[in-house]
Amino acid sequence: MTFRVARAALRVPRLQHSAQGSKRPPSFPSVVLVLLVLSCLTTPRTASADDLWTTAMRAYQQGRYEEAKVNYIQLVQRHDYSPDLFYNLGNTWFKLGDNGRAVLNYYRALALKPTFEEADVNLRGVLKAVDNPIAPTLRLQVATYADYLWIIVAGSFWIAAFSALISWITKSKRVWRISALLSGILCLMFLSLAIWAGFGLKDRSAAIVVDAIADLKYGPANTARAMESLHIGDQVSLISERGDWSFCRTNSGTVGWILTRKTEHIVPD
Amino acid sequence: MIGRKNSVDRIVVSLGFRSRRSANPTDAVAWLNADRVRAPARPEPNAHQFRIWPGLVAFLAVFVSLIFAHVAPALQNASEPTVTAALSDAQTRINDAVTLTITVKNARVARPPAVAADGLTINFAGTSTQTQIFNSESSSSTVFTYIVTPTKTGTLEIPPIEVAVGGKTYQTERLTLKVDGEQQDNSTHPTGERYFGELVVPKDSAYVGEQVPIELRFYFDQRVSFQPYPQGQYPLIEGDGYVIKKYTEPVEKQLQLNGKFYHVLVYKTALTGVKPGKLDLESASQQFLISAPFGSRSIPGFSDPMDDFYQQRVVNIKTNNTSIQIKPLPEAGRPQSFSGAVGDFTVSSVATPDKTKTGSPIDLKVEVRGLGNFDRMDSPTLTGTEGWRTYGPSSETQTLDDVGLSAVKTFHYSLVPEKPGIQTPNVQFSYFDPRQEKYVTLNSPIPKISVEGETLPQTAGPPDTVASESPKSATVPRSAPFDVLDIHPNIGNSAQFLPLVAQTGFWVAQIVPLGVLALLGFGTWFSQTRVNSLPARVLRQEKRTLWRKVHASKDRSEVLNAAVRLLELKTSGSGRRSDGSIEDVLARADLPSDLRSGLKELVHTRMETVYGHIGQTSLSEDERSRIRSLVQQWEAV
Repeated sequence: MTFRVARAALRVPRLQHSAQGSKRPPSFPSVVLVLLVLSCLTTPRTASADDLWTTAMRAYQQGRYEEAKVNYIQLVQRHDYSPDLFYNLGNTWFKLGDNGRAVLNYYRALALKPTFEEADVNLRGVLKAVDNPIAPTLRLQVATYADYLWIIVAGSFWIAAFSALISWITKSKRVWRISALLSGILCLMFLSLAIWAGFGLKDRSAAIVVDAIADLKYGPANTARAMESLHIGDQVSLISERGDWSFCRTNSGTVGWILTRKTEHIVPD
Repeated sequence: MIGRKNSVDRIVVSLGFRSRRSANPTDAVAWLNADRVRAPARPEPNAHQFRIWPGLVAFLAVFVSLIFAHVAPALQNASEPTVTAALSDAQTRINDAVTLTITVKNARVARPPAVAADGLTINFAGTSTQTQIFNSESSSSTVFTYIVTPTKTGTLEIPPIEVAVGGKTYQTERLTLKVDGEQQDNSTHPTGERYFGELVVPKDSAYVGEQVPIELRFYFDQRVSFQPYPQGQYPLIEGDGYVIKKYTEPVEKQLQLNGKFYHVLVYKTALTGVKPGKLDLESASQQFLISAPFGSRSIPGFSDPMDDFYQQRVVNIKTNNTSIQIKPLPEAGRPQSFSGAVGDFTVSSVATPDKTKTGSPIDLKVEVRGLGNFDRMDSPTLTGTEGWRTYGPSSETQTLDDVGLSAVKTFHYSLVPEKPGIQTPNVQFSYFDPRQEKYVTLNSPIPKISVEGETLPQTAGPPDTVASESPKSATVPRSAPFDVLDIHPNIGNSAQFLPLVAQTGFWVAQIVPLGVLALLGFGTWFSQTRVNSLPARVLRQEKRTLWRKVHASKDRSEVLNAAVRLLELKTSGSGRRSDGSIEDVLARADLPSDLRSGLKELVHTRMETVYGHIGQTSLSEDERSRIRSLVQQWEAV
């Protein structure tokens, strides 16, 4: 009763306020109406993304790979990434005969979903077709699962922290202390592993050689002496850029200069 | 005794002597003992201290006097500075460096003089300074060293070099260097050369696809130390029409050539011709950073200190040219199952398990072992695959030597039987044997596999990487071009390229356990604090109640009880009486006499009132204020 009275008391000044010509807060129906209008406005964008996807898929299935590529790239430019998008784009590039970009997009798909078996099969197939069957290094293999490592680090850290707290509170301290110690060790181990492995394919400096032949040179010039020939699918880490050239490190640890246009970052710009 | 030995060692070392006595502790002890015989006996612990100080003082005195005797006159008699320049050799060949030294005597010059000359590349190499004291005369000299590399032939001149010393400019003499033509070709084991390269190709002809092991050898005189420059660089062979495997790590050997020993750095690799015709291999080149002596210029019977002076420079060593004839693989007799392998191979196959049901896969492992081009060979062909679905193969290669000529390549197939009682397939592998100059086909039948179960329904054919036998031909052409698996119809869940640890969500998620942990920790601390402070809180509560009574109660006995209880609480602290009765406490306490008597009176009055029922029941304000004052004074003590 008191509450009703209070609300009624509040209503009176509001009515007076509106009567004086000031702005009135939007009513519930008007808010719903605005939301409906907004939802109608946003629907075409989603539909357009779906349309692009459907168009690309249909074009691919009908052998119009150039059209499929354009549509898939438009989806990539919307930053609405998904492993399947890059997988399909990789297939499209392969059909268009660009094995380098096919490999790049399979790597992108695997970066987003390390357990993507079809992307892995296609990647290995294309790499074999270009005669560059790369065996990933142990570090890269571990780095592929870097996200899981960080989850384990966080989980074991909290288990250690809670175990330590509970051992302080409760009487059965021994069990909780052992639990805290073990999970602490686990946390440190996985933390070291995660730091050592880095971010793998999600590293912003990671790039893939997309050209059939790309020489790693001693200097940023065509006339500079080549130290190593890189092939499609070789992974490099781009360190810095000077003009048309990038200073990079290969997986074998060799550092040198490579033409920037012969590589592409795994993480799209 | 051991302690004495150690102390002797310490003394000798602290004096900085490297005497024979100090070399042997036993001798040192004997020397010390002998000294003892001569010296008067001193207390044992400080013996060495007393013995060392006179020696140390004497040593310092001699040292200082030497400095004054030699250095000071030398400074007074400082001579006029002189500047000279010299070349290590007056004659050299193009690209063969010589050393230029500029010597500045009797003056200190920090910056190397600038030197430039037409046709010569001159690089500063280093500075050295010498000070000599001889017969009370001292001299100092600074030597600047430059590496001079001629870039053209003829008689070249280094103009006088100017050196500024103490505001004056001194000039060196004009120097002349005679430069002859280019170095001799090193390709045919040049005798007398300090370093040269050699390209060794063991045969003069090979087939397309055949791997030819080659060696690049770089010979160095034993007095020359060397290392590839930049480090990790491998030799480069110019030319096209062939592919080369990755180099192995270079191996260093010692070889005798024309009666002279050389250090040899050997790079091994294998070359494969990719098209028929004459394959010209241009000379391979490799840069080395070498450190070589200037060569013996000593006069017989006179040891020249410059013989020990090494010059360091980068040289590009080239090997000889050579060529090899690449022959095409013969068309005649080429089997359909030819895998592209060239070499000498054997094949073996194993299938597991040997008993299965229709629809259950069998792992077929085929091993190709031998010597040849494993990186360019395709998988063996399976024949007689009717009634089998075949998948794969995947392959892996295990090299058995450094270069990878000898290896084992293992292919894994998956075979799925479609119907029971079918015959096992056969593995067929064809290669070209360059030694016999003919194609060889190897068959490796798979041992009998027992298949049970019902016939599977017909599905689409197996992937095209393995050919299945058709009724018309026993062996069909092998692999078709690679094709990718089909696209996905659904766009799937969206994802992002940010690593998990860089995502805000990851850190926000950590707030939840952090909050729980903080709450749990704070709650535990709070409850424990409450438990620990319970007696104090009870005491405070009781004091508040008692003071309230003292201030407000009209009942005299209640006020007196409360006041005495307050006195007791003061003495007990924790609310318990631990120091005897309040009277005893008052008697022991160090109090002003009027306070003590007032308090005793208060206790006494309370006992009279409470137990003896003596006195008034009501309390006057004067008495209340007096009681209050007494208790306050007591608490303030």
